[in-house]
Parts: sequence; structure tokens; C-alpha cells
Amino acid sequence: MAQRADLLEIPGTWDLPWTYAAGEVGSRYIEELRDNARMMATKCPGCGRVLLPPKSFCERCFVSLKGHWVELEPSGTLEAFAIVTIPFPEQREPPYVVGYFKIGNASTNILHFLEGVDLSDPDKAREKLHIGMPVKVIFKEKREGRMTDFYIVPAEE
Amino acid sequence: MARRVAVVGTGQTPYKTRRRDVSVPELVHEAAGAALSDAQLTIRDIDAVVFGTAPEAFEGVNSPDKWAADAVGALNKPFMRIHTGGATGGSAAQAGVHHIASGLFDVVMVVAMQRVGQTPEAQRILGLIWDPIFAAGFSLNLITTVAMATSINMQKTGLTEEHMARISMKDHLNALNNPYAHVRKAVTVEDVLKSFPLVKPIKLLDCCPSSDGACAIIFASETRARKITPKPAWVIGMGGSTSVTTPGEENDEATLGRLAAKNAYRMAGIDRPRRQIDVVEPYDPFSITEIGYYESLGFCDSPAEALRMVERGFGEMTGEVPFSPSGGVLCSNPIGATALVRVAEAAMQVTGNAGAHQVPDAKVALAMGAGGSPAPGSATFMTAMVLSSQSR
Repeated sequence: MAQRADLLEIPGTWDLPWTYAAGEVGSRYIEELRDNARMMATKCPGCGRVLLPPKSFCERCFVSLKGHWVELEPSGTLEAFAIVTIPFPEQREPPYVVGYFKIGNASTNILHFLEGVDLSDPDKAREKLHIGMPVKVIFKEKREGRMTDFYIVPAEE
Repeated sequence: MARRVAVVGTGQTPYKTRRRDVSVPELVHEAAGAALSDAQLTIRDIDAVVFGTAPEAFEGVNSPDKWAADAVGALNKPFMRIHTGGATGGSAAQAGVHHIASGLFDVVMVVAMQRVGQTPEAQRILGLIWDPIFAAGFSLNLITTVAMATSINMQKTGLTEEHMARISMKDHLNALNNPYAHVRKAVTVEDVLKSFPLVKPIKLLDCCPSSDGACAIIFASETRARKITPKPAWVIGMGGSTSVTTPGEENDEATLGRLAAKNAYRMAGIDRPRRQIDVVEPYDPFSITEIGYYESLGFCDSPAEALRMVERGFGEMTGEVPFSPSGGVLCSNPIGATALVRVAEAAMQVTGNAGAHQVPDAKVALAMGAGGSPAPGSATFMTAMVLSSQSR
């Protein structure tokens, strides 16, 4: 059956603001980053896992972790990475490296950018980066209470 | 299962970049009608309806279930909506089976849909699925998450871009035999390797398209199924699992697939999947995904062996166990419907109704679903369903 090429389409947009509650544990974590340049995590008294980002509960033991804080060393390892060289809408201007990182003695990964990598030749950079490479956490001078109050760089540099 | 359940009818719309000729209700109505006519039933034969659709921002209407309820035949009937991201269709199928296995209903229609083509901002919408406290602001999208997981595989298992390209070539060739497939174009390993690099090592032809489409399946109890069709596709096993780990952590996605399959296999009496399963419809929106399934679904014991299997063409139509004879998710991805399409295709295979992409003598088929994405504060869901020409 031949289809009309001029069928109507009605335009629409969503433009909605939100404010996301960070909760007690999320607030303390972010305040420690902002005010004390400290990387804090929660530790489960049941399984002993150290959770970063911190959670107020352990999903395995299903117990509260409120008050079970530990401080982490501001260093760690690269666990996975991608070098992004094309632009995605409303995302960071390429090129950049995004990765999963294990910080201090955390049992879980955080998501962050890896800064301080020469990306003038992305293929060369890709050969240089490897899973397990040591990284360190650098706190920014000006901190505003966000996950981006710190950045991560290769520790070998 | 408390009561035996079978697929007695399936319906699919063609998968396309954009269906301008139908509204959302009309799109799902088309799939529902196709399933009813396949089963030779009318809407009066349906006791309850399960509806699946993933992020509603794709449709641009909040809770599209209320938009679509009448169009999928829910009038005066129990109705529910299921949403587990890309696993939506798999979860919806399982809910439909639960309805019947429980004894509460005899004939249930499951319809799932997505239309990704109504917005030019599909990637932006997928960029809004992350934990806003800990994971937002890092430019994460599904292509970068897959590129990150692949970075681990390449370093640790010897995976190469050629391995992934071979899977993509296979799926594209298979899609040529599926009239519903979205991308129907033969590609070579060379074409895949030379396709536009998105986030290395992921290239354009390693990725699924964004599709508009819907799928419907009618499930029935044993008594009703035997009256409806001489060839029911029996649901002999199903399983599901949820993970909150990210790539590189213990208990990652491979374990997730293993757990979902393990439960399904136990119910189905499968202990040697490589011998007992004839065809697989994996949930593989990226070419890398199928390779991971070889191990996690028990078709081999190590990632290294999985790579040798790719080299031997294990999952090709002429291989030992064909994967994605329909062309798979790599060639059609109407997100919320996609995992239901896997179940429909598995049912078509074991009843000998898969047409030009029929695997000869297929008796047992495995359909997978996967949704969510690995990131802090996010979860990944996986579903597995085993269908068979024989009841168990």
C-alpha cells in the first residue's frame, strides 16, 4: 500500500528541572570532598567490602552502613577506559578519557575522567594506557561540592 | 513450573528508522493484530495483557502504557506495564508466563514496543539514565560503557577488532533473510573494520541501529495451547538476574549472564548447552556482546576458547550453534521490544516457522534479554528463556 509522504508530525519538547536529594551518606561524602579534600567510603561490617561511591546500605548483606566511614588513600588503579574522540550531544568536548577506577582499598569502581594524558595522537595514547595502571587523585583548589571536585591522573607522570 | 506454558502466536512489525505512518497506539496495535492472526485467535480469547516499553523519553510521553492500553486489547482486562530497560521484553515475557503458570489466566498477550526514531536525541536520552549524584557529568553513554568493557577484554583475553567484525558480518548476512530486520545490507569484515570509529575500538558497524518497532507474543496454558495450535513452542526454562557491578569488578556482566542462564537451564534440564541447545537469540546490541555470551551461557569454558569459536564460525548459520539467525539486535533494536523479539524468534525457530532464516531441525532455542548499564548507582538486568518443540 502506497503511503502518503505528507503525514503530519506534531512537535514537542520536555524541559524539566529537578533537584536530586543526595541523602545523608551522599551529603557527607561530598562535603568531605569539598571541605576537607578527603576521599571517604563506607565499609560493610558484614562482608568487609569498602564501597566507593559510598552507599548507606550493603546490597549483599542488606545491612545499614550509616556511620561506617573509612578514609581512602587518594590513589588507585585504572580498571577500564575509553578514549572519546567524537562529540556526543551535551557531553564533554573531545578528546577525553573516561574510565572506571579503583581508589584506595575500595572494592568497587568509581566513574571519572582520566586527565593529564597526551591525546594529540589517540591511537598512541590507547597503546600507552593499560588496565591496572596506577593513578592518583588530585583535589581541585576551588571545590564546589561535586564529584568533579577532584580529578584523576596517571601516577607515573 | 506450576503449569506448562507455551507460545501459541507471535507478531512483529518491520523494524525501521522511523514509522511515520503510525502513531504509538497504531504501532503496537499492528504487532498485537499480527500475533492474534498468527494464533488464529480474537481479542476475546485474551485474558490479560502485559505491556513492555523502556525509557519513555524515547516516545516523549510519560507512561506511554496508558496511551497504548486500548490498542493492545486491554479493555476490561487486567493490564500491567513492565520496564527493565533493554531487558523489558524478556521480563514482560516472563510476567506473561507467570500469569499462566500461576493458574490465574489461560491466555495472555505480551506486547512490547519502542520508537527511538521520534527523537533526534536518542543518545542524549541514554545519557540521562545515570545516578545523578555520583555518575552524572562524566559524559557516559552506552557506546563508551561498551568501549570500556571491551578495553578489558582486549587486554586480558586477546580479543581483536577482527573478532568483533566477524560477528557483525555474520549478523548482517543473517538479517538479509529476515523480512522484519532493520539493517539489511551485507557487510564484510573489512567493511566493519573500516566503518566510522565511534569510541575505539567500537565502530559504527559494531553497533545496532535505533529502531521503531513492536512485537507481540501470545502465551497459553497447556490445555488451551494444544487446542490453539498443533505446534506450540513450550517454555521449558527461564531465569533472571540483576547486577550492580561495573566492568573490572568481581561478579561482572559475565556472571550475570551465567546466573540467568543457570536458572533457566536447571528448569529446562540442560546440563550440556552446547549439545542440547540448537539456536540462540542473544541480546547483542554490540558485536562484542555475542563473544562474551559463548562463555557465560556455558558454550565454552574460557574467554580464549570463545575467541577460537569466533574464528571457527561457531555461531554462524552453518556453525555448530547458530546465534542470531534473525540478524539479531545488531540489525534491529526497538529497545523495549528487542528482548521480546528474541523470545518470538526462538519460538519461531523451534516450531519451524522462521522462514528463510530457519535453523534446520531446531528443537531447543535460548532467548536472552539484557538491560540497564554498568555504572556506579546503576544496575544491569538479564533474562533467559528456553523454548522447545517438546513439552517437559
